[in-house]
Amino acid sequence: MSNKIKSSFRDPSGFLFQEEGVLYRQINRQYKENYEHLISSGLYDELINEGYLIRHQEVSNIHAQTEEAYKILKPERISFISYPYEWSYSQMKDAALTTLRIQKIAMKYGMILKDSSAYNVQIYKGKFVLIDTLSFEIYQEDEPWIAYKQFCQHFLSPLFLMTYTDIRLSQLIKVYIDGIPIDLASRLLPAKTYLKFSALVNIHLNAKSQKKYSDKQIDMKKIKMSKMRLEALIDSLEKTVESLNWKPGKTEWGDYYSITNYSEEAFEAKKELVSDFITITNPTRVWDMGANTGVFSRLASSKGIDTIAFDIDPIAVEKSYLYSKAMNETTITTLLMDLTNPSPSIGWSNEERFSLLSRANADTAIALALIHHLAISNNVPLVRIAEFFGSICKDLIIEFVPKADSQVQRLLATRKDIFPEYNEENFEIAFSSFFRLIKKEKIPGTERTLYLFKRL
Amino acid sequence: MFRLDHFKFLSILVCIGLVFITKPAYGYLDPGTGSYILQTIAAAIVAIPFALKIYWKRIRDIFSKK
Repeated sequence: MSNKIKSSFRDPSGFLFQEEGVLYRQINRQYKENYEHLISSGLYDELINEGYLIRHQEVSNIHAQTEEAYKILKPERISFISYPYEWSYSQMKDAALTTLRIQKIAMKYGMILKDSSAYNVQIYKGKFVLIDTLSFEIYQEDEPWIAYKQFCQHFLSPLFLMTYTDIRLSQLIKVYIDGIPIDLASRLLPAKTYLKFSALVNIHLNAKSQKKYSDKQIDMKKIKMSKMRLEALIDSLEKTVESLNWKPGKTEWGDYYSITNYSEEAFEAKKELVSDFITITNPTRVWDMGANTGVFSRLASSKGIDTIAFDIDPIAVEKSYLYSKAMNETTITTLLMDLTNPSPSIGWSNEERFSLLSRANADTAIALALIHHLAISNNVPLVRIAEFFGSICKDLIIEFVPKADSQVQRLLATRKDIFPEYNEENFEIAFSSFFRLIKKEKIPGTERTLYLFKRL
Repeated sequence: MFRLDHFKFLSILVCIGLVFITKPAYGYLDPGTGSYILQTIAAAIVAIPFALKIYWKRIRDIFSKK
């Protein structure tokens, strides 16, 4: 039975595998020269010092999985893998910039990135790092960048679409496993992007060039590009990404906290209660579902607990991420997620990028001001909501929002009330199929109750 | 004798030939012909202001040292 990680198959230089819960990377013999250059040239050290590359240890070849093994590495582990379609605008920008900066540094040491997939970078302690150590290859003089097309598809297409067409188009990355096709981006971008040099050249002309050469046989070896020109190209791509700016209009949730029905005292009381409940559950990892800008998520992360905050609104996720950057937060990651349609498993055999549920590793989940959106706005039965939470956490801190609450009244104002079962009693019954009630407290100054459940 | 000289000569030619057939490091990606070519055009254009930027920096460095 193979220990190989199923999603790690494209690159013949090596692959990831697991043994007794530990993650390893096998380097195959064909990569030997490149790996030795990476280490001996000083590139590895500089990238580690800059915090751009995931650290690894070399371990005994006893772990070798096949005869092609040259070396075995044990990389530092990322506790939660996220995907580009789960990133906010600035996360996408920073992922792109990290890739380009790594390429710039690599060139100083006579190496280049042989791929530029957005799946090669991950958020680690608040910053983007390259996790594919075998992505480096010795630079061949006068050779153009082999990963240019991939960079355009994985980074430029989504970023331009998010900037000039619609922020929601990052979701197209989920549909196209190797990034958004350049010709599709070209069609979706507005005419004014023809006046922007970087979009004109890297997307529009690129699309036309692809079409022109689609059925032609060209000897690629004859195509040359000087090192200086490659440096100029990378520099230009970096300046392009840096200059991109998203000016959000109003989304439904962007100004959430200014329009809630909480008084200041009630808000503080809720924070205290949530904080207490977190302390009681004593988690190593927390997931905050429907976290908005992460006000309550930070009650956990500020205690040093590894926290993931999920929200459906791109503005909320963006705000939270920008705050994290400004404050140098290392224990919280905010991600984009629609809980009524969470990330599915995709890729070859639906086994390359994993669904949200299969990545679930939270000890405690927090679900504040959420249940009425699931049960009423989205018609999800209470017992199905309980089942969902049962599959993602051991302890659950959840706020029940009754019909008497003014926010629920707003939801019901525009539709027929077909929810006779939506009340506190049925809520407790539904959740008792999956959880044991530990504690419940009315939030002072509100109609709401905070519950603490433990999974059965 | 004639044949052996020819053989030696051809062998040397083949060896020299092998040295000069540089195998490009394509990694495993398909770079896409259209994009691969377009890239060289894009780079040629941006190389002009880039070169100017580099030379200007060098000139500035020389004067700041003085």
